[in-house]
Amino acid sequence: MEEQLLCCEVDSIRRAYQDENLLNDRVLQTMLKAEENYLPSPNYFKCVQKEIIPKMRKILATWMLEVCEEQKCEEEVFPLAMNYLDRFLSVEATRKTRLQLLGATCMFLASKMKETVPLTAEKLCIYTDNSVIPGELLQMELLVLNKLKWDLASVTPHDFIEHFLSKLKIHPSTKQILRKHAQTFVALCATDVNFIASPPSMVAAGSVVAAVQGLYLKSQDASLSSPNLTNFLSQVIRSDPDCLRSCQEQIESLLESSLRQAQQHNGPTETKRMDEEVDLSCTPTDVRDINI
Amino acid sequence: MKTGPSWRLQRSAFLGGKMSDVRLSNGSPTLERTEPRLSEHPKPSACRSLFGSVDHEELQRDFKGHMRELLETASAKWSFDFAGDRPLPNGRLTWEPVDSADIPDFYARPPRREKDVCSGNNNVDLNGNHNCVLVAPSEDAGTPGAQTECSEQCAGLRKRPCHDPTAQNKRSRSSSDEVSLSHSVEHTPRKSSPRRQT
Repeated sequence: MEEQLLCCEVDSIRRAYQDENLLNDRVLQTMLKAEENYLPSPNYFKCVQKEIIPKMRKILATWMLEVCEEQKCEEEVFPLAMNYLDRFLSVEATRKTRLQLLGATCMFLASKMKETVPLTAEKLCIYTDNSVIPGELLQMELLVLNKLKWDLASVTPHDFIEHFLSKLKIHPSTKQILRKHAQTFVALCATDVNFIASPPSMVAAGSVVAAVQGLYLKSQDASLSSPNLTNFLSQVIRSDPDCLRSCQEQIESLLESSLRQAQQHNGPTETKRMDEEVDLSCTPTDVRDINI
Repeated sequence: MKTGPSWRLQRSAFLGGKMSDVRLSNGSPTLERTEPRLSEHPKPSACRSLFGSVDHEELQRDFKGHMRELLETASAKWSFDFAGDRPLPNGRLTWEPVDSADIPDFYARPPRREKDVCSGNNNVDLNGNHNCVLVAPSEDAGTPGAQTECSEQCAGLRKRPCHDPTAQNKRSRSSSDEVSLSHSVEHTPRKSSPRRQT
């Protein structure tokens, strides 16, 4: 397998430029309307599942994020896969031992939806430590597709971030850092059960506000001050400023508790691990380390 | 020593609690992933079984049950017996057989594959399907091998006479390219007025 995967003559990933024409209000309104169709049921742990508890979703999400990061998936793949997972679990009682197969299948589908070079079934099976085989993944794929009614065009928080950023008056280079941070918050939220039923636009807006805060970004006209930004974005997503504020606070406390856990886990061995694995040390996106 | 993709941020930015200190791991202007997927081998640490071992036999049984369910739902929806490849009697929809030569080429041609489609029969995908169209089981003697069928598929020679689906297994054959009967006859559903009689 190792030899098969090794390929030295490869081009860099080619992607289309962001189409500015799609960042208009009509598109945003359509997305706000569409997002409601893809919300999972908020209490599927109680109402649908018998074996699966919130803690397992966290373990699974952490693993999925780790795989997505290691495979350098596009940012939207992980939130999208988590949406498929939650929507499936909202309608189908699933055995605990098959949860990882489901998670792998959701990544398989999300990657196919969003990437030019998607993850392969074989590779995903390797990540499950070969506890499932590609044939099972493909059968699961068909089952997931049917349970999701073949509707994979979910709206995720990721889709909103670009819209929000386009409305802020900030320098392009700052925008890139802000985007990265907001995406990291979005990924973090996707791992947490408390955000399952939050509308993606709310999670995205909360993530952008939290990122602006965290980066201490300022603008001359004070439009980036916390109350102003919260008011502005809550209007954009047609929500209440208080809701958005509480969402932002929830995101910040989630970050804090994740960091605390990460420090407890990694504290003593931190230096050693960073020496061993350089690429781990430069991924704060790396909620996987933070979350374990 | 490997380095992360160019856009990754320093984790220490989070751990230090000051996000303003965040810096990019190297000077790429784009923050975008530029490295191709293929270079990444699964790291052993990420390869783990999370929730115990899967009962594969039970899984297969359940999959079969699900598939049966899906097939039944589809059958009811489309008034069509997909397993038997024929319309259901007294269904909500009426089906009529159509000569595959009369339908757009798109429906008849085999799925696009990489080059050398018909190089052999050992190209079995993960579903167990061959690259080429399967030959329908037939009691008739003198069935040509899959190889023959295959080259015909590739050449797009799918001109077959129209068949009445009710007359299954009674069709006369004049040439060997009619072997895969059930695959050659396309059915088109229609609700009331027939647009075209074949």
